[in-house]
Amino acid sequence: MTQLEKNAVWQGTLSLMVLRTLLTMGDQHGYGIARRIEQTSEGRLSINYGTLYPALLKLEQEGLITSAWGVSDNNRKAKFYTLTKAGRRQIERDTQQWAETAAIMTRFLAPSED
Amino acid sequence: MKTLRTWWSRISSFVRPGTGEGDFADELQSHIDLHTDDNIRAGMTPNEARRQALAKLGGVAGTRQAHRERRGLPVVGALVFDMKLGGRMLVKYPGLTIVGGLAMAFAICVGTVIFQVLSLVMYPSLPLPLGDRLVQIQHWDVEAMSTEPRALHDFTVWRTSLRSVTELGAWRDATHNLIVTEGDARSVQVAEISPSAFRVSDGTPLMGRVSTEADERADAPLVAVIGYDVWQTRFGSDPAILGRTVQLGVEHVTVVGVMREGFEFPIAHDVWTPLRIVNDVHAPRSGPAITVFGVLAPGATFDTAQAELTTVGQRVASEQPSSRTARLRLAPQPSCVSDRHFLMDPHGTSWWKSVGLYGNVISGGGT
Repeated sequence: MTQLEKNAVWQGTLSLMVLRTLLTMGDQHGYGIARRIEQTSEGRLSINYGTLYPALLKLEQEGLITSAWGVSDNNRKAKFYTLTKAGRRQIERDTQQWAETAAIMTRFLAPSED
Repeated sequence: MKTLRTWWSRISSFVRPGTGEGDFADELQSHIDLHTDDNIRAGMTPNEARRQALAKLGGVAGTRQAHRERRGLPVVGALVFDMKLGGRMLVKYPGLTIVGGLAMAFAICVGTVIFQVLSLVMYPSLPLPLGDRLVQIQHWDVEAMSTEPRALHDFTVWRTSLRSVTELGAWRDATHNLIVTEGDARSVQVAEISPSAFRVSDGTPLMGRVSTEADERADAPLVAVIGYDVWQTRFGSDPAILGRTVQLGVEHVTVVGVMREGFEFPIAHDVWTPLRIVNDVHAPRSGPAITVFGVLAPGATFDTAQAELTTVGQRVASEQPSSRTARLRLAPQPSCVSDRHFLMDPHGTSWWKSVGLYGNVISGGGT
């Protein structure tokens, strides 16, 4: 796998990854979310951490997450993000949409029986 | 709803700049510290751990800028900033401000004038009730690439045969001495013109009447309609002017009407006499230069009028074989073009107002 392929994050997928991470892990700070996304992808996806914060801000502006300052496990001050009800509904919608998209693409990409 | 909430958030941040900036700086520092701690736990030296954390972040400045653009209204912010900067520069260099302002004002004036002139040339129309349907009919000499104005003979043909152009008339310009009393001879601008001119130009007289078709006959008494200024300056606003005989050039004419103030149709004319046409006298392409005008008939368009003119022209040419060898030839592809003649100025305004206001139809036939 090339570095370019490893770095590639599809347009619009980062937001869903963030929401899903918060759903799984609960409240989390930006650094923790980024590390979790990389771990979940088992190292196949490497995100530039700097791109995460505009995405977090966008989700917060849309009311899908909220943020508040707190203290991390190693006693560092950090801003924690929390999933809202609207965020949970958004996950359901996006998950369904992705499942349908994936199913369609799978049919297209399946070897032809002819 | 999400969009509304987003914009509200962005506008709030724009109105209260700086509130999010410091918060994000703290968050970014926290991120770097957390990552550095992890790197140290992984065995890196503190310096290397911090360097790696910064590298993974992709640059603090870039991250801050991306966050800032997402947070507020960057386009509006940049615009406000530019305006502030521009305002400061204008105050700082007043001389340059004045020169620049004058230059812009001059450029706007020039642009406006050019636009107006182009509009007049490209979309000619007279400021008359029938202005957009007024047309001129003329011959186009293909070889000389110019108009053939000696069209008295053709005018009589067109007047009897054309259906798509009504109120067909013609006029010619002349300068004559107007002799009111013995020894008082001053030149006036005379338009020898068809009566239809008064109808197409909304020419209602102040007193008396305008000329009629009966006045055009060769045996009719000579009559004249005078302008308001002539009536005032030469006749002292004489209320008994109607019926008075005056000498106009070598002829004695009877004043039958006074036009209202400001009427100078077609171009700054003072006196109007009937255009008398003796058809037998004028062979094709002979006689004085005239200008032929008319109004598109109801339902007729510029194109249909042009087509009829072409047909009429070809028919007359075939009836007169001699015309085929004439210098004036049929235009193979007659077309409608804009005219630059300053022909009509019913309100006595300047050349600028009347230039290009007269659409024309080029005759496709030579007779």
